[in-house]
Amino acid sequence: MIKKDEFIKIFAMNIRNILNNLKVSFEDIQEIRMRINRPLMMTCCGDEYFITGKGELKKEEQGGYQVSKNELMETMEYIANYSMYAFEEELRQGYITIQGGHRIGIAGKTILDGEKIRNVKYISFINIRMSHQIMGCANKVLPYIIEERNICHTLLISPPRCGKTTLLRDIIRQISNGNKYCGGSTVGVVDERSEIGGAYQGVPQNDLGIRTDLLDCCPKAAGMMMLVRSMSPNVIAVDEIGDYGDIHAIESVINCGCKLIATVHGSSMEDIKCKPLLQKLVAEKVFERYVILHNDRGIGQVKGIFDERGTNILESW
Amino acid sequence: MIKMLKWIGIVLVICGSTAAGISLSRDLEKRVKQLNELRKVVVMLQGEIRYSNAPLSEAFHHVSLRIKEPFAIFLEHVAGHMEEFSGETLNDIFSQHIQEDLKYTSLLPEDLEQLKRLGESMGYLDRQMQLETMNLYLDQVNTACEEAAEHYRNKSKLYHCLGVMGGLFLAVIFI
Repeated sequence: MIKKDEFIKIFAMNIRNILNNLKVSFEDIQEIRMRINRPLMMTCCGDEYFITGKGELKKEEQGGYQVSKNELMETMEYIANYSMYAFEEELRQGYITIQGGHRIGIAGKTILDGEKIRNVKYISFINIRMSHQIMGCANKVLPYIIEERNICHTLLISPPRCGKTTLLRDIIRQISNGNKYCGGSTVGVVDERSEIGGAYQGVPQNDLGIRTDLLDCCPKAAGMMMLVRSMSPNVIAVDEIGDYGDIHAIESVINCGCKLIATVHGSSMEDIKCKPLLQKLVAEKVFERYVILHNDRGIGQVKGIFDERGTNILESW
Repeated sequence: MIKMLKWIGIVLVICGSTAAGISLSRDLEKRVKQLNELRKVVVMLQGEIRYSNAPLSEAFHHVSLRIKEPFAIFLEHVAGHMEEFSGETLNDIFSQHIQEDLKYTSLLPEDLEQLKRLGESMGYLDRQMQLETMNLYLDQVNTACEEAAEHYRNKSKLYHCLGVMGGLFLAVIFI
């Protein structure tokens, strides 16, 4: 459940009042977008809407509440908890994760230091992506990724906004607590962007299960090795593998005897085979299961589950 | 009987005047102590920012647990107020609690004004700038602290003596 009052506090006062009048459930909201001098928008149940000053949702732009520069700046102050300096690293990457695991994407004018982005100023665009915790959303996937009470090395593949982090979170919870396919296992989670656990001061705000240890805001490659050495997990879970450092760490983790569950952006097995980053892992059959998500008929739909040879083992649901 | 009352009055006047002198001297001493505590607050805040990269409300809360009053309650109130996201700027919140929580300290109005100015430059900019702004404030507090200590050394005995002598002077006039 999204704590509405807690969440709504990150908005400027005027926008807070508007959102308070919304007639939709916060569980159905996927995104809220703010752009200076542009209408306030949201994506709800997969559809895009403009929000009026009275908190009504409209399909047409007319009547949409125009976000002012001050409102956007006020919102940024609250998002950063009056402490922009504390989010320097996140700003450099273009997002801030707030309490509850909601991700705030930002855009504006970048300040460069040589070729590297040093900071972002004149932040003029904000995209608030809501983190959803859906208990039991992994129920149908679990029998495929657990074979004879053993967890398979699994890669969740999905385009953005198809629910891969939500699915990963529930898989972690169910593996950690134990389920009807296997007993509870110790899970180590490296949560680089605080999206999986939504940790606040180190304590996960989302339910990740009773046997889960969380390394919050830690780079994946370093975090995976750290967990293997310090917490002896049976399973390691990471979100959005993205560079060769992560791939090297994955190889080490697998050689240490830990099971790995990871996610990556993509939309098909072919996509993954074409990615230089993952080619080697696919060729060496490191992952035993590939779960592909899509959102054609709603978020979190499973398009296919493939084994290490690339055979689709998904029976029609 | 009247004579006795007169003597009692004289003793009371001398005691009162001496106490006033001691109180003034204590105020000077308390200012030195409070400026030192303020210096400690800033150093600890710098530590929170430098090593744990904590946002201000979290840093204020952590530091408030390790320092003495009245700064502990001041920082706790500022942190609590910040977490309400009530539509006020950090500067407004900081100033408001300086007025409310540090009103009855021995700090001088100029000390409180300097602290307010620190509030104006907190929260934005990058970490380096944040730390340097605090360093600048720390320099100001150090200077104020040295001056206050010097003032205390020079004036404390004077206030004691003036208290006693003033009492005696009044007593002589009454006699």
